[in-house]
Amino acid sequence: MPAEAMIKKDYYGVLILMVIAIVLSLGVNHFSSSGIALIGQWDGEKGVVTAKSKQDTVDSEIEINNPLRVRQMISNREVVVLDVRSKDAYDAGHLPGAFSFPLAEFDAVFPRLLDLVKKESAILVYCSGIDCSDSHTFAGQLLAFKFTQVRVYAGGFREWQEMGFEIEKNEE
Amino acid sequence: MKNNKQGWRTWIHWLIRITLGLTFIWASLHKIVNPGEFARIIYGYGVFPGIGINVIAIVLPYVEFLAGTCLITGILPRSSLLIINGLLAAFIFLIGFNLFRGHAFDCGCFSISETPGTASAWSLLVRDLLLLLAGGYLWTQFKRPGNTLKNI
Repeated sequence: MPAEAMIKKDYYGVLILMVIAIVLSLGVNHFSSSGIALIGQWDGEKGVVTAKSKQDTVDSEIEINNPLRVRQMISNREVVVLDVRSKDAYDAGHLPGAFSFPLAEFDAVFPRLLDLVKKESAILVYCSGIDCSDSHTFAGQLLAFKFTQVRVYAGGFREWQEMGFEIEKNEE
Repeated sequence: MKNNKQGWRTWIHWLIRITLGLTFIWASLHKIVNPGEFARIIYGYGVFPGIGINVIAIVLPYVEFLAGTCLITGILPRSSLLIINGLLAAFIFLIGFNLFRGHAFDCGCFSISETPGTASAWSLLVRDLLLLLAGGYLWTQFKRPGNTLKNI
């Protein structure tokens, strides 16, 4: 086969494979339970970023996307602050007065949470940052257990740190 | 003697095809199962516009899977190798670009939660460079006169 015809065949082949991949992927994504929207929320200014999947836990309605407001709430002791990152991350640095309730250990730590707060207490949950949805997952589980005042700090620990606000550490 | 050399060469070609093909198939599986997390990883690279992230997260894993499968099975092998080499070149550029500007990111290559960091990014870069080297070599063999799918 002449080289030119071979190259043409290669490019047609690429085109065919790409078309099959696009049709197949969009079809599966549409019907899959883990499928995502064609356009997600990737603007950090608007809150926690999310692909908007069918199993999405992110609820922008409960977010607080203002670090100054969060600092005010903490200094006024208006909220119980929950850090849902790992214990190691918490020990390395956390928001003042925050309690460690790692999402990965939700079932184990939940009874301790019931001792700490009432279902009508104002609770503020945070995780590592704008690209972390663990705080929303945790908040969603609290709401499912009929907690009534659960909010999420969208910027999380990273934003708090970048703002230069006070950080507490657990020294060994 | 010549036949022996040709035999070895054929074995090496098959080894590269299977390695590249399986690597791409394996890399695509967790992304296909969890496109939401893969989209978050793409966001973490910090180079793609928000409007395109989800579409990339949906389509790219299937491109990887199809290209890997076709390279192994011999359906449109040259085209699938072109795609694989193109993707490897793109990955190398992205990883290199982020290393250059000191941007920590999660590769998301073989699992959803690989640790971001400079050391792992360098190992990724080396891994992708080696794969591209192998893919480039295979491409030169595909182009050799007289080489067909049967003897490669």
